[in-house]
Amino acid sequence: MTRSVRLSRISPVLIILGIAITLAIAGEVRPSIYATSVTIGFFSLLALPLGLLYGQGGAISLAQGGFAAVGAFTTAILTVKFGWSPFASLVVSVGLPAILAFVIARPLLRLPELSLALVTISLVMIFKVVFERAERLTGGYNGITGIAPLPIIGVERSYAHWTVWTAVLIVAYCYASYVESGRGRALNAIRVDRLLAESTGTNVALELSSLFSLSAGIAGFAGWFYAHYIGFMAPDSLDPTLSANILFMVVLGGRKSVLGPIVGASLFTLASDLLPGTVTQGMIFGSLLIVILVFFPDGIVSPGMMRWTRRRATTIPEAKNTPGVRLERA
Amino acid sequence: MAFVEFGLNGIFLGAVFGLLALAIAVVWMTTDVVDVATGSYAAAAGMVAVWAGPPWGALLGILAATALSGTMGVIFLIFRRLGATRDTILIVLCTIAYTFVIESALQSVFGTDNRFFPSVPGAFDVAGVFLTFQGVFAFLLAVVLLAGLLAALRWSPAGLLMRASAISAKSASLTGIPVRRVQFVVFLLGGAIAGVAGVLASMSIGVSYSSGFALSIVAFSGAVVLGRVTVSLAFTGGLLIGLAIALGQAYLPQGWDAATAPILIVAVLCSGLVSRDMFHGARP
Repeated sequence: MTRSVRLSRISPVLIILGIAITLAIAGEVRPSIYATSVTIGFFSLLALPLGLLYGQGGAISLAQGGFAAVGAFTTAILTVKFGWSPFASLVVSVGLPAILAFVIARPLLRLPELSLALVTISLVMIFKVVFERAERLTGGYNGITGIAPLPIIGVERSYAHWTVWTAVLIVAYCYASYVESGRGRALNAIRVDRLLAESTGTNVALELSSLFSLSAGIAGFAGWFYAHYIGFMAPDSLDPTLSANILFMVVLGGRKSVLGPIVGASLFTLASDLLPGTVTQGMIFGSLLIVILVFFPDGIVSPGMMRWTRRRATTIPEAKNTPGVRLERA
Repeated sequence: MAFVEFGLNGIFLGAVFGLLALAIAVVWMTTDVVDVATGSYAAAAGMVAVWAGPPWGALLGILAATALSGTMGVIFLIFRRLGATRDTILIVLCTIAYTFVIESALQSVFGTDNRFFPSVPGAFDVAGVFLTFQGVFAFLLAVVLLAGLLAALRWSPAGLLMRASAISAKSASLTGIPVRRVQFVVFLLGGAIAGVAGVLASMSIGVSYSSGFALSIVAFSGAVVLGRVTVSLAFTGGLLIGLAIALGQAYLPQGWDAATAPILIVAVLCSGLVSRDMFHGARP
């Protein structure tokens, strides 16, 4: 392993650690910052695996929020209704979305990007109807209240902050290592040309399915954490809009880098905290999104910027002759 | 008899979805963009129509929807101008963001109530089946619009340009057709059709600021449910979705009918009924 490769694994993790420490120091000065930092961490946990799946593997998903909701409802039901300990329910909260995702992955991931986006958002809408209607388990529209805080962490915000950011650090390190590994290169090959990847011995279906399942599992973990942190879970808590927002975080921040999803998550959280008026927020925010999507389609942390921290760019440039048709103005 | 009544009312409701599916299909075929904001144009049309009141409110609503979709058309043109080979999914994400913009604008101007435009009064009964004039009106209006659109596409010079651009944007531009301008006009057309659907929706089921996204999903499921995406199949698909939803409301436990459209989308797209080319802009 060359020095530059090791550096490229460590440097994003160091930057994230820096962000986490800065936020913690700020949180000690102004406790409300802890609330913001926990939200950023939660969104990052959802966005990071999607960044890997979409940015490196080219498979889009609008179901991250839905899988988080599955994880959150699982732990809410198991701990409140059946008296399980949160750590026992953690296994189910992570396992259930992961297994669900693995089972549905094969027919899904064969689909072209656009139809995959529409199918995954439809899945989230189905989840939501199920949560609203399976009243005996989920409490219907009212949801489940009184979810106990996690042992040790309790309601102490700084502990919650470090828990969620530790998880982010681990996921980010795994992401960076994965991209550098042979499998990461295989994943890049899948994005550029699936047939070619298959012909060089990559099991495309298995690679993508396990990655999809992994990202659902991490989302399930984030949901588990969220439910115990907030203490309340309803179908509207983690709704289809969240799933769309997670994808926006990835695209805005930069889908081709490790730091991109985290930058996106931070921007989103700060924007919703700082922009005035909850009703008019959508207008400002939506317009901003459109502007960035149109003018900076590669996001804020783009490969150009990454080359600055990495000695060796490992991302293969997009093939020029895919989808859209080049048109001359008549 | 009850079954026939639910069925017919479902098809009348389906006329609204049929028009929306038509709007999505027309834009999709010509520009390769699934405009997720289509339902929001409809919601905006309905809200503006209710605000302005009859009789001119309806027209104003349709104009508002057209203006909104025209703005999306401009965004699309800028996007394509900046990079012709860029991934289409990004512009689809733009339409989702645009949905947020419209929802927020509607909420801050008109509030959160579900609003109704005065419907065509009266009802009648045919052999024990109870039907409203409003339903019949919506259905007939939708069919007339569909026929008009089909005729325009078939025989008018503008329709010919649209069909050529839809079949192959590249070849069309080589033969000197101003493809970009045609695509912009199609966005306007889609908005106008969605506007009519929105006014019709405000006359029956009512519209609120947040109706847009759900309407889009229902309409998209209508556009793809019959496998091939064409103007008339999209409309028929919309009618069928209306039928399925109405029967779901009648016979499923309350609330489960909301899952009808998303389940259909998952089933149809995963089964591979819709050609992959539809999603790549590489139709022959």
